[in-house]
This record gives sequence, structure tokens and C-alpha cells, in this order.
Amino acid sequence: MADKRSSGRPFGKDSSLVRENYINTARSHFMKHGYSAASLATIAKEAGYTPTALRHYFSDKADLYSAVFAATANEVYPQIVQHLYSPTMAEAIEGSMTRMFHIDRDFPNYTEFLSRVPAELRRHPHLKDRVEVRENFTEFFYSSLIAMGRKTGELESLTDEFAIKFFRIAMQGWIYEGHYSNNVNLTTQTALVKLLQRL
Amino acid sequence: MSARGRPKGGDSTQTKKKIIDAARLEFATNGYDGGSIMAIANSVGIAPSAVYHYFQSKEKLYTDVFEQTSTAIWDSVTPPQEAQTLLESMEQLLDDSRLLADTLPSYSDFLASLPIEARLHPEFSDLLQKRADYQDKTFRKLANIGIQSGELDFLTEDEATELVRSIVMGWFFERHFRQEEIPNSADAILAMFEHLLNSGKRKK
Repeated sequence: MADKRSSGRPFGKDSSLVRENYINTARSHFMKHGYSAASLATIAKEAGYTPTALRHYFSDKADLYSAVFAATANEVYPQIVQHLYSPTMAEAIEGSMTRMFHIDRDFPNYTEFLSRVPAELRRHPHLKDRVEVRENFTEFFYSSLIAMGRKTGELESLTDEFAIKFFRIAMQGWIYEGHYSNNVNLTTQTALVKLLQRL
Repeated sequence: MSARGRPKGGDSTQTKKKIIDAARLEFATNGYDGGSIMAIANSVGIAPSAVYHYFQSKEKLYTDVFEQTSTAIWDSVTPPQEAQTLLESMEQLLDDSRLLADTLPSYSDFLASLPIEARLHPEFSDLLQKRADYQDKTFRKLANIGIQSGELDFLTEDEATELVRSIVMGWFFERHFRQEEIPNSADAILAMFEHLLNSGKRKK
């Protein structure tokens, strides 16, 4: 009796496991093929299900992509944000970049997926409103970082706007360039912390 | 009346150049997988077989577009010998890069999409190495200008190089992704170097 499964969609606990399995398979698939060339049928097959079953969970490719984004961001963003509670801006930079470095080492698909999102958005603008949280997160993170530097007195020069833009450009540049060239290292982090001591 | 088949003689360099230009735009717009040899041939006004005559394969065509585009871009953004400060070199580099993106958008777009294409297609991984070589040459030079001027004299050469790389590429990619600069981002970079230049001078 317990073994007998009714036909049709799985439900309950199983259902969220199936969903998670799809998301993890899809993340690797998007990494390997990019959004344009990714195929729902192939993702279903790689996950060990039928395309029909996959379509029960995700109505189309954009829907699946935004689900992968949400799952990945929910995993990564909180780990980065917690460093905004560091005592100093220098430690927040040090902590968040080290965290990114470790996530990249332990879950390379997560950070690489996130680093490629803006490139996919450029090519597929219809995905934009599905990952809105990304822009909000970025703005929140860098303005909080600068507010912190003001509070501790670490950052006295430059206007707020310039400071936010400068650190955003440098840290996002580190993320993009490191992932795209497959060379994520912490030398930029050291440089930024020393730079902050100069300000 | 034109003969059938491939063009001959002097036309050949001209045709090759036209194919490269069309391919750059096609790959920049549709990516490597989505890039169509048929579309490239159509825009040049030749048969697809003529494209293969000059470039053997799509892979070879992509590689040649990369070589030609990288040389054109990196030669024009290399800092001038006489630059004394990172502030002025950076200003020059941002201006040059902005001008190139405005006048030759397919060049910037092609180069911006290259690293991800290389991740998707391992056969292009050696292009990533070449890209790194171009970058290193320019960014190391900028780093040394900054160390000598006092702007970055608190960093090692490697640290200064990586910092410059992150700043320049961050600015470049953000601009590429949004198809416009993050407002005031270039001014923010320059304000930072101006501050470093002045505080470096004060220390001396």
C-alpha cells in the first residue's frame, strides 16, 4: 500500500524534493549551455523525469530560470549580508569577499550562476522583472556598506554617492572578472582593505 | 557581369574583412551558438560556402574575429607613455573605452561576451589566456603608474594590478550589461584617484 503511488503529479514532501532536484539540475544545465541553448526537455531527462512532469512545476524556461535564480540567491545573499553586521567596513569587505570566495570554492555553480545573470538579462530582457530582487539587493548592500564606513569614521572622503558607486564597481568587477576568467582570488580584497585605510 | 564562385585577387582581403565585420556583429548579438553563418553570408552578399572558403569553420571564424577585435581594442586603450598619474591614465582609458563602445559597439559587445562563450565552449579556452595577456599588459602598466605617482604606493604591484582590473572591468561590464553607464560611476572612479593623488602628495 505504502509503495503504491497514484499516477499524476507527486505531492507533499516528495514534491519539494522533486522541485529541488529540477532546480539543481537546471542550474548546472544553464551553466553548461547558457539560457538560449538550454532545453527543458533535456533538463527533465537529466533530472530523471519526463518533460511533462517538469512542466507541471515550471510553466516555461523563464519560469524555471527565475526559480533557479531565487533558490540560488536565497542561498548566497544571506551569507553575504550577514557581514554587514561586522564592527567595521574593512571587516565587512573582508568578510563578504572571503565568503564569496568560499562559496565559489564549495558551490562553484551558485556564484557562477549569479555572476552570469546580468549577461543573460541583457540578451533576454523579458527575464528582468523575474529577478528584480537582484538589483535591490545590490543597491541595499553597497549603500549599507558605505553607511557603515561613515558611522565608524573609516570613510571620510568622497561623497556618499561616489563612495557607493566606487565600491560597487570595484567589488562587482571582482565578481564578474573572477568568474568569467575562471580566476577567483582574494588579491583585490587585500587591495580594497588597504585602500580603505588610506581614505 | 560578375562571375560565379568566390571573388578573386584583390577582392579577397576586402571580402575577408567584410565577413569578419559581419561575424563580429552576428556573434555579439546572437552568441556563438546562435550565430548563423547564413546570416553572416547574407549580410556580406555572398554564399555561405564562400564564408567556409575563407574561414574553414565557424570555430575558426570566431577565433579570427577575436584576434582582430582584441588587437584593435587593446591597442587603442593602452596608456600613453607620457602618462604621469593613474588619474589621467584612468580618465583617458574610460574616455577611449566609452568612445569605442559608442562608435564601434559590436567590438565592445563581442569582447564582453567572449569570456562567457569561452566557458560555454571549452574549445575557446585558449582565447581566455590570450585575453588575460592583453589585460595584464595594460593593467600592470597602469598599476605601476599608480605606484610611482604615489596614488597606489601602499599596494604591491600585484595588488595594484588586481585593483585596477576589478575597477576597469567592473565599469566596463556594468556598462555593457545595462547598455548605459551606472550614473556617475566613471566620476566616482576618478574622484577616488584624485583623492589618492592628493593624499599621496600630502604625504610626500
